[in-house]
Amino acid sequence: MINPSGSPSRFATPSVSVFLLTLLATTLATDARTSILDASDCNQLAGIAEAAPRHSWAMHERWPGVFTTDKIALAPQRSFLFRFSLDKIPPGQRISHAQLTLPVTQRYGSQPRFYLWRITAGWGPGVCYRYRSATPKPVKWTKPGAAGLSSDRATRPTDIVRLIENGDVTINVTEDVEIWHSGAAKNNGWLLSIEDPGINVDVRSPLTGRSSGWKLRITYEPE
Amino acid sequence: MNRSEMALHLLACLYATGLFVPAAVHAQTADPASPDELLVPVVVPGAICAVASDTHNLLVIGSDDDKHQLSIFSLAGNAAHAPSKPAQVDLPKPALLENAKNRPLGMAFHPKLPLLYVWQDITADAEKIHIGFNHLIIYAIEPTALRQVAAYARGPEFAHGLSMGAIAIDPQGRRIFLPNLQDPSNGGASIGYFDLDGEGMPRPTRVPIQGTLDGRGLNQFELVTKPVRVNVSRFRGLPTGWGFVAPSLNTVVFTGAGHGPAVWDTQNRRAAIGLLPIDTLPGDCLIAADAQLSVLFGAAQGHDSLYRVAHADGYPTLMPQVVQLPGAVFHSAPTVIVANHNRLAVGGAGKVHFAGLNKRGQFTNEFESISVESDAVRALAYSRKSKRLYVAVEKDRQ
Repeated sequence: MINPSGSPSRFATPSVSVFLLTLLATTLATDARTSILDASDCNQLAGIAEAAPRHSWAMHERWPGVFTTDKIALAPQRSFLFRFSLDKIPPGQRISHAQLTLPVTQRYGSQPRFYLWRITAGWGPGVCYRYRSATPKPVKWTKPGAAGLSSDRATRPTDIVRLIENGDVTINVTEDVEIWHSGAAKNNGWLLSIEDPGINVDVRSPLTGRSSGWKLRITYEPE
Repeated sequence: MNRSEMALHLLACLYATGLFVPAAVHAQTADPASPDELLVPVVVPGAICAVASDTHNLLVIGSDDDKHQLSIFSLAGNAAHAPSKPAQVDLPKPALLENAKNRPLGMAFHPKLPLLYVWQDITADAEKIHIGFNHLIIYAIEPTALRQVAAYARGPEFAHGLSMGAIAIDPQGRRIFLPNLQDPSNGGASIGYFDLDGEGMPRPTRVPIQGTLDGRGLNQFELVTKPVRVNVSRFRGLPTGWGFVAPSLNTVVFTGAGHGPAVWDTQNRRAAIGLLPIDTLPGDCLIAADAQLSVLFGAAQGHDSLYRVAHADGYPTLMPQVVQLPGAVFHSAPTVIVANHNRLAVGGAGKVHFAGLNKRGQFTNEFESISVESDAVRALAYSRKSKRLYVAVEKDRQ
């Protein structure tokens, strides 16, 4: 910057730096965007249970032998598969943060906790405890219940969520969403499971849509 | 280029783009070009239900007439025109119910044998009905008529005075699924089935005789033609016959809780019933499916909503799709029309409504309606062979 006398100003450099830094910060802050997806953005859901090996909607055994979808009643050998569509995230973006919120309504047993797994195998029509898809031809999970490590689900869980009280729990899922969005792995969604005997956890059903309280909050910015 | 050359050039362009087809080609194709051509009105006043069989070249329409409740049409002639004058059959009822009106609620052809199964109902004194009224009538299909060969489903286990009563037979013809059963002790709504023998007749089952326990704690048994029953009263009241889809011997889909589909897995007592309530539906749904699509369809009776959900061997799977046809009031089960005319047809108030489907049976949000001479269209049947949709109407169009 040149002052009116034509000599360089001693105070110009800090002012420019502050201006540029402010501009940069503003630009970065403006470019980072957040999308909040809800249950209506889930395009695949399934409840799978050992007791109901062919059912796709075995989420809750409301009465003996009668399964329904009014809630997700997680229990050993009864899990829930869900997949959010990430179409709302534009290509060419870097995922800087992703957070999954699940509404837990009840927990049972000592030191209750549930597991969140990234699913590695594709699943589709007819998905159930026995098969990852049943039409046009049955394709089995490597291990029933999507239990095959590294073949059906990731080798390690995305998180193990310990529950102290009922209510919304938030889980950092940045790594999973980043690898799906970057194309490093196909988005086959997640699995909620109970791995400890004697533990049951109830989660509000996402089938009620937006009002269910399910959220996937994704912050992204240009690469 | 002079005018005649320009005309020839234009015709050549239209021909190349498929916009112009010589009349002779239209005459050769059997496919109707539009829903108007697809639809064949058939005059049967008071029609309630209809079924068509390409195996037997027959269309049967059931009505609530005092007599001649079944009208049987041959589809052997020109399928594009209303079938000729039907043969008519009176549904049977005992003499002690002479003054009561019986009506057919559901019909199904045996997939292999020349048999027609009819589910009928009646409104009268319960005791008289339980003593003498058979709900399931089996007819042999003969060259010129239907001949009653058997009658079943009588007694306090069968509810009566109901307006819905669909039946279904599995694709191999080994089991018939029954509506509107009840627990005789408490009236709890149930559905059930008879296993069918090689002749298509309900197979008797071994039932323990009460008070016959011997010293080893074993009962004596008698052979009784009694349906296998599952109680659905916790989530479903009577009638339970809104529709059945039986894609296999061991599973049957019916309308369950929350207006959505339910599956009965007859082999798995630990998970006999699977429910998929669909909260956005305004009312209970009449249901249907097509074997080629592995998709269930439902039409909310008295409302404007349709749903579709994929199924695998009868187990509903993945997300349901719900659409509305504003102004429609559905009265019939959906009828799936496949091949070159992927559509769902549903009877409405004075109209037949068509919803477009893609190859996976998903709604394309293309809708059409055609007016017909009937205040409430309840009886539709599609013949895949003739590629026509037969619609029972009250009278010929003036």
